[in-house]
Amino acid sequence: MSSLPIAHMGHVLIDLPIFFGPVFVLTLWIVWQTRRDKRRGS
Amino acid sequence: MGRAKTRAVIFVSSALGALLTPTYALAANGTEPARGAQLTDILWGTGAATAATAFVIWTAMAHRAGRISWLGRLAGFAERVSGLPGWAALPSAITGGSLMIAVFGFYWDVAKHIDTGRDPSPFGTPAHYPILVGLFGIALGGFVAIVLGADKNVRTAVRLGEGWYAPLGGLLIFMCGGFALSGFPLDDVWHTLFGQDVTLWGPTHVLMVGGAGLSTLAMWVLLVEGRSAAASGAQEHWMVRLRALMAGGAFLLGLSALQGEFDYGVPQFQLVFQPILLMIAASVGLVAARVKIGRLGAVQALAFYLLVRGLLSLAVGPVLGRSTLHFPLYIAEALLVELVAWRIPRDRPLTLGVVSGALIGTVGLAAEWGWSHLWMPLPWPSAILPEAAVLGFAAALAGGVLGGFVGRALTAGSLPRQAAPRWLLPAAALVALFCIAFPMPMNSGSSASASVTLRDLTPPPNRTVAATIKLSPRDTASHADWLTITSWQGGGLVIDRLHRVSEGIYRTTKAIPVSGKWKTMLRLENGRGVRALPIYLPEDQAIPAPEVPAQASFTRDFVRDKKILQREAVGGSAFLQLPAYLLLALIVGVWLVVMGFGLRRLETAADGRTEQPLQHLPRRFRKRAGRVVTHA
Repeated sequence: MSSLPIAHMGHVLIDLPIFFGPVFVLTLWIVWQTRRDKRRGS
Repeated sequence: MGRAKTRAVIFVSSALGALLTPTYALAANGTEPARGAQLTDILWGTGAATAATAFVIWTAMAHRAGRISWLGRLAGFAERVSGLPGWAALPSAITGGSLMIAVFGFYWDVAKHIDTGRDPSPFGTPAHYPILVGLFGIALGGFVAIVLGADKNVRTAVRLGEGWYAPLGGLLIFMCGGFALSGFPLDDVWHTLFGQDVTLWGPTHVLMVGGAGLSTLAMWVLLVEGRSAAASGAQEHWMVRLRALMAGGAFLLGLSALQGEFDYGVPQFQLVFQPILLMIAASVGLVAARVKIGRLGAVQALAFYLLVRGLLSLAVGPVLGRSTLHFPLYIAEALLVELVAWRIPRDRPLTLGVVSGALIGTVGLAAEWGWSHLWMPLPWPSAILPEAAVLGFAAALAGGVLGGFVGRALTAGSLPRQAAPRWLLPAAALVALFCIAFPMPMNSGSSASASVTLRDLTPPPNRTVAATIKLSPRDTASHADWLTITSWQGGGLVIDRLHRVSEGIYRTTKAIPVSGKWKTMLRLENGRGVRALPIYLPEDQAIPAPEVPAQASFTRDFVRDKKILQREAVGGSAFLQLPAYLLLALIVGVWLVVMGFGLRRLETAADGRTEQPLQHLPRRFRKRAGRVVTHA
């Protein structure tokens, strides 16, 4: 089967790391920092 | 310090490793990236995203640990030039600038897809880059606000840790930007399951566009928080006023984003949606702007909206050579809101919203009706009048109330709070939802066909034709909202509103392309029947789909419009469709509820402020206010 051109940035293998990756990592960082601060506070 | 650095390196490495694992694992397994994506594209994109994310996290950690000062200095500079605290000034500038970049990329990309169809490769379309940069920038603006942190005495701020308070607006911006960005991989999953839905209103597209659109309100919340935290009694900086009107205009732009298909003249839903969406956007956006900004606030927000939309239309059409981007004017609606606000003061935002909504839903609707005949690609016919008048009025009324609530939240603490019955907000939301849901069901209409005779105007390879169409039954298009021949994706867009010769017989008025990559169809909509029949469709091996040739004469049946416009959509399993729709509805629901809670927090935080003497307020406010709180 020939390849199907794509409508947006691309395939999930491209869009997952490019778009969701940073959101996931930055959110994780906020959660991690929050928990660390709370641990230190207590 | 050394231990902290080690932990930071471990954290970043693990997170990035987790990110990269699926990509490399699949690549190593020899799974060929299907549907056009190449391994080099994946590596390139992943590498760039990893580097950018690592830099942002390193900066955040270094700033919080006090190892770098440039972020703080940058925030200080933003504070000096804007009069807002740095944690509001810098992130709102990043978000605002990014929104402008994203909205440009969005309209350019939509026009590009209309004109040329699908993309040849992931990174082959320049229009994707401004979207990429813009959406990242929106999320980054929220993240920077969280990292900078608000002062402890900012009552709306959310405590994240010891001495670390994230501005509410920053969290909301980050959430909106995050949802918008996560819409992209979800969109790919959707395409894999159900094929490509070449419509702006695909569920994941709504997530992306809606996320970016709502971030304008989140940015407004951040500006309000910043203004509240600025030195009490200080004279309002001109930049603060400018940003307020820009936020109002941006909110109106965001509310109008989902009208895109109508703006270009290729809607895949009933035409009555356009007046309904217009009424909601105008009433919510303009009422909120008037309440928050004050005198001429609706007009100022409108001026910014018109400036941006005008520039976008110029950039997309004449400059970049794509199809013309049309837009609603909202001038009558803005003047109506100002007229109402002349008699009803801002401290009664809900009353102002109801009266404005009623006027927008009647006079404003009539004005947009006229504008549609002047410039819109599909002018509103009398056939949609009954439905548009009723639903448009209801939508405007509900929108006015919602705009009043948004305005009340944004002015909490600076104006007395108008009390409202508990049922008013949910009732307004339900009415708005009903107005959007009611026209949603569509079908292929009653059984009908058309006999088409083509006369060549230009020979191949760039063949164009004139067409004569005989409908059967003859009265098939008697109450049509649109009857057009639409050609797209072959290098441009041609929308020909057919000339009626006699009952059931129509002629084209333009040269219709029927060669190469063009997709040409006869489109007809009358109420819930949204249908089309192909005149010429190219062979598409990738779907796969055979060519539908443009013979000299033929008779074809009308089918559901979506079947032709969304040739790539494969329908997918009905078993999977329901959970997929439910999941996306859940995401949108969470996102709207969080925005609602955010606005509510603005109000409750203001309610908790210390009561102050009334002398600093105008006399009319003192009379009405049982209790008045400070902060402008």
